[in-house]
Amino acid sequence: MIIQLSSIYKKTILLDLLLLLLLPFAVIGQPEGYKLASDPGFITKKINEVSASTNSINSQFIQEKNLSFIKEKIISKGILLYQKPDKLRLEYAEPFTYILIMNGGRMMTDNGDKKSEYDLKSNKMFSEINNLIISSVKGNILDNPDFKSAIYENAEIIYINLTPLNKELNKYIKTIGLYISKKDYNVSELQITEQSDDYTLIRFTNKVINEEIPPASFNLQ
Amino acid sequence: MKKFLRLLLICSSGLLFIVSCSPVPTKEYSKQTKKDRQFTPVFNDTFQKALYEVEISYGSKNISGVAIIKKMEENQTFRTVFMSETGLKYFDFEYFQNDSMVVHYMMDAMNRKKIIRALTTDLGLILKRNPDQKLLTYFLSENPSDGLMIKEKQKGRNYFFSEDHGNQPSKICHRASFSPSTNIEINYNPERIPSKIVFMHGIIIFKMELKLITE
Repeated sequence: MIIQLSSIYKKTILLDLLLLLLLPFAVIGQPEGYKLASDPGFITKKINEVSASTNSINSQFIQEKNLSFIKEKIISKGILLYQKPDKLRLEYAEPFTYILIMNGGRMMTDNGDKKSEYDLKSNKMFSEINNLIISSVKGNILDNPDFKSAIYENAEIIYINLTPLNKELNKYIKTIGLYISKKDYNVSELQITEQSDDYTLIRFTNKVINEEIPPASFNLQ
Repeated sequence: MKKFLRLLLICSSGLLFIVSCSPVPTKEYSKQTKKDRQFTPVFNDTFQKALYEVEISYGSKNISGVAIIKKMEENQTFRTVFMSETGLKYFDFEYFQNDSMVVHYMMDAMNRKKIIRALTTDLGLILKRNPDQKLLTYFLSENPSDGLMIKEKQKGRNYFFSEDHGNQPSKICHRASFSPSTNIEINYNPERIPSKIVFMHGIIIFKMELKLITE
């Protein structure tokens, strides 16, 4: 049982990492009211340009967990910090406290009672996810062969639908939706839909780009 | 070598059996008639839903997350979903009044018989509402401060300890042959909603803790 739980622990960490790698792009959305993008090449180019010029992000976020059997959403709030090339801090403040940090090849968590640290280079899957994160930060997630992408748009928003092609990932995630404002080509919402159609929506607010972030933010105190 | 392995297997099985049968302190209790006695569930009739912080520890590893427990009005069932802080769902169970249950979802990485059995048994003990009266025996402590114990013979033996008749259990023990013992300790807030639930498993270093966030 211990061995099986170790496996669960590793896969959980990997899936959390996947969420993290998408956060720098953060937005939300549903494809209703959208049409297929008329010039996906231009959109991809713009997104890549903005991503390349983004050195840091400091943003508040609101996370909504939607479960099919319950009307009320489970809402949590916190702050996201990102520093190029591979530093990320996700800090939940309400209704629970939880910190998840990715810094180079390390991942750290603190749930208030216990701090943990993991070596992302210790196994092949971790290493692949790490590479995926770096490619995402570079702005070429749309070229990632592990996802089939479709780009939609309306007058104000670009909606990118990503479907995992990786069988292992597809067991957990049906689609990933990114909502990007046409004003600044930054992700404002991110929606991860599970195979059961339950989904997690993360909305980013008060986003500050390229402001200096203290290096200590990417280590646990 | 084969003899050694066989001996090791017998000894370890014996150890597991002994531990699984580790005694629940029942000697100081005297048997009572069922008249005017009834089972009081952990989640009482006024309970609607609650959100908990979860921490599961096994050896030096741990997984944390949140869990929602909700009473479903339509079927009067309990639905519980455990997930990571980032929203990744671990599992989704539904418990019916007749002690049956349905696994609506189990994360592929956790979809193993032993894990399902351990989790469904643990959560089934705290979500039990209408056990078959024929399976219950009531005991009253000789020490008044120790209150009431209810023994249930189902899939082994379950023991529910309450401070007084009509009170929700503050401790639950599960014992079954060739299965690690389970001890559950429960604290309540002033509204009698469980505020902290700790599950501990026999010789396996496996602990699950739920702390109330919101009702």
